Parts: sequence; structure tokens; C-alpha cells
Amino acid sequence: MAAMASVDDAWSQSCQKNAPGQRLVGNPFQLWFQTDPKKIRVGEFFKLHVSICSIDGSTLPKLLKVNAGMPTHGHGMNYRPTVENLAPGKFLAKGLMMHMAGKWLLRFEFGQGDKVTHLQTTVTLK
Amino acid sequence: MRRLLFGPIAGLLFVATTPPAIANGNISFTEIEKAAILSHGPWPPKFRPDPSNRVSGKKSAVTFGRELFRSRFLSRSRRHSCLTCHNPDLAYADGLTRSSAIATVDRNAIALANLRLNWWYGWDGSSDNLWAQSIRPILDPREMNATAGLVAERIRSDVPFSRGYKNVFDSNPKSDDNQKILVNLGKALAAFQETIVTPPSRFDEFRSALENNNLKKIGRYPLAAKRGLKTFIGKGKCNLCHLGPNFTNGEFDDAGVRYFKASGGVDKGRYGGIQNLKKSPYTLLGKFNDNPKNAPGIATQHVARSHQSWGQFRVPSLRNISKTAPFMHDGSVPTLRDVVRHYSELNEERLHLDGSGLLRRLNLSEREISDLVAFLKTL
Repeated sequence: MAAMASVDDAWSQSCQKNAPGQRLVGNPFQLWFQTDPKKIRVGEFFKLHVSICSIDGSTLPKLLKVNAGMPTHGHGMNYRPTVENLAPGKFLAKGLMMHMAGKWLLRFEFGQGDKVTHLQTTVTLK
Repeated sequence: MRRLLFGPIAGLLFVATTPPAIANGNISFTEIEKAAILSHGPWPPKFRPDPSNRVSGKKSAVTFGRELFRSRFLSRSRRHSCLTCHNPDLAYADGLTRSSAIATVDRNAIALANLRLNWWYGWDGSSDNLWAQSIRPILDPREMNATAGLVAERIRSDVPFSRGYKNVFDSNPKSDDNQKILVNLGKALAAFQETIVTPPSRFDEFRSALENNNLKKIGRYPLAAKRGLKTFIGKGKCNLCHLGPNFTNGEFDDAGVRYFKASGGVDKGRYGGIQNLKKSPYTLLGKFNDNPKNAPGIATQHVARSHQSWGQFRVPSLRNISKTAPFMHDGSVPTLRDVVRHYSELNEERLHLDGSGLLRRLNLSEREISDLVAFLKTL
């Protein structure tokens, strides 16, 4: 329960500048995410708590897909994560697992109407 | 970067042509290399019962499972048992290229040690739990060729096995249906197989000595094995897939081994494994899982079948590897030296996944090959 409360706290602050977790800045949205568990390990499943925050008050898009891959190896994950829309702008992605150490590209795809855009970041697992 | 120097003979001068890594008869490991080595232990990991199997870790189930494992009672002809392909004298494998009971199958028998650490079973991961994997050969027409009805009837009519069943499952086989009996037998077989764990190896002794900075014990580990270990975590990058205490990431990859079956056609590997998994009534997502809350089958819910899955096979554990020849999913590689040479001279054209940058020809020298083999033999 403590862990959930912690995630909820972080979630409630997710659109604030100094919120814990990681932030990816796009235009006109920014995306905040936190892994669950916080420290992810090779070969262990994890979830992502995701918030999409509007910078200019625009209508919030939906998170459509989360994926990850190792560009230098030319492969992705062996699993296809699912995304649950919990509340406007708040999402839970389940079923992520990185099966190798090294640099992974974590990619978030979100869309509004016909427009699909993405934000991505690098995750390095040792 | 601080380097750690170890070796049995400190202070001897060698000629300048000696490679730096073994100068003075020693092998040096950087802190990064040391961390990589320590990540392969400790061994063995603590036993944790399988939540999907209510008799996992139960002593009576282990005993009953061992009896079932040895008995020919589960095969239709009463001529074959699990021992037919998983002989304890051969590290619970069979030493054959492809296993053979009623007929020869398409793949090499996987050695059964340390199975409790897996989340996928079989070369193609057709099962997401050990009890389902234990049921598979009972039903395979080429192996035991039985049915749920056949084994259930035999359990009901055999006094010692019927008593063993009641004792483990607190249930009368005369009142249990055929499917329930078959699954329970799988669970007893799994309980036994979970106890097959390889003992700490020479590598584990070295790793522990390294962790505790015990120079005397570090010095006992053969120099060739130390050099091989350095290649394993360095130039060879073998630990990208063969990682952690069990020397496997538990997943699947294309190792550039042929995937045509001797019987004809293509072995789909992981692609076919996922197809079989999705059709199976014995997965963690099905009604036979004893504790869906603690064993929810996250992997099975999310596993992705894709073009990438074609020609992929299990990344096997390397523990006890010197005792489990021949190698690869089809047993096509006879010796450990041949395995290392396979990766050294890898034919990248044979890799199924176009554009993958994971496997590349290693171009190892003969001594590097010998050293890697020396290291693998200590696992």
C-alpha cells in the first residue's frame, strides 16, 4: 500500500516541474513517467505510470502504445505492453521486460484524432 | 581505473611478448569486469515454491514425483519413462542428437537441472510453467503417447500410485476427473524436478573468492578459465544473453543454427512455441493455475509473436554445460569446442532476423577458443 501511495503522490504531482520520475518535453505536451518498480532489472517485468500534461492548455492526447528496443542490436522487446487509460491524461502500461543489458530506446506513442506523435528516451540497463 | 590482479605466481618476470592481460602469469580484472563476474551468483538461489503449483516444495509431492519420473507407468506401451530422455547419469539429458522414445523427435533433450528458475519451458517456450511442460511428453505420440484418460485410469487402478496420489493431493483419484489427475501428475513431476539443482561449481568457488578477495582461492582457479571468463564477459559478449546466476536471460534468440527438421519442413522455434502456448489449456492463464493472484502469467499475457520469433530457440543455461553434449536445439553441434567455434566463425547469412546487430562473428584465436572452453567447463 505504501508503494501505491507513493506512486499516487508522484502521479498527483506529475505535471509539476519538480515531480519525481522522468519527464519528456514535447510540444504542446510533456510526458511524465515513473517505472514500477523504480529500479528496473534485466529480465524482470515492470510497469510504467504515465501522465501526459498540456503545456498550453490544449486537449490532452491519449497514450496509444509504449514500446522499447535496442537500436544497436536491431531487436525490440519479446513482449507487447498494454496501456490502460485510468483517467484523463493518466495511463498505466503493463508487460514491459528488457531481456538484455545495454541501451534501450523507450518510445511512447500518443495521439489525438488522426495525429500520432511520439516521445522517446534512452534507458541503460547494467 | 583500478585493476585487480590475481594469480598463483606473483612477481615472476615474463618476456615482453606476453599479452598484457596475463602479464606475470596473472589475470587482471577491472572493477567493471569484477561486477560482471559477481552478477553470475551467488549460487544456488534460494528455493521459492511455484505459486501456480500447490504441491511445489511439498516433500510427499517430491517423493511421488520422483516415482512417477522413474516409472514406465505413464507411457501407453509401459516401455518409456521420463528417464528415457532425462538420465541422471547424463545430467538429466540423454547424450543423443535428437531424443528418441516411440519415435525420434525434432530436438535435443534439454538437461533438466535448475528448471525452477525458468519462466518458459522447452526449446520454444511452449509452456509457461513446469507442470505443463511435464504433461507435454506424456501426451506426445512420439514420446509416451498417453492420454489423460489412460493415465487417470492407471492411477485409479494401481494401489501404490493411487495411495501416493491421495497422500499428495488429499483427493481420491476415483472422484477426480481425468484432466485433474493428469494435471496433478504434472504438478508432482514438477515438484520433483524443482529439486534438481546443480551444486556450486569451480566457477562459483572462484566467484565467491573474488567477492571475498580471498587471493589463495582465487589462485586455484585455472588461468585458462580466467582468460576464458575475460573473453566471455569481454570480446565475446556472451553474457549479453547468458547472464545472471543461471547464465541465461531465460528468453529466445536466433543463434544461426539450421532450422530445417531432419523429418522435413521448418522448425518454427519460438514462433511455433507461442502458437502452442496460446492453444494450451495448461498455462498460467487457465483454470489449472493454483494461485493466479501470485502467478498471474504476466509473460503469457504479453508475449509477442512476431517475424522476429522465427528461428529463435531458448538461450540455454550454461551451468553443467560440459556434461550435456551435444548442443543446440537440434543437437547438431557435437562438442563445446564446436559451439565456441560456431560463434567464432558465425555465418551471419544464416541469421533469420535481417539487420540484427546482436550476433557477429567473433574471430577468436585458437587459444581464445581453448580458454573459453576451459571456462565453460568450470560451470
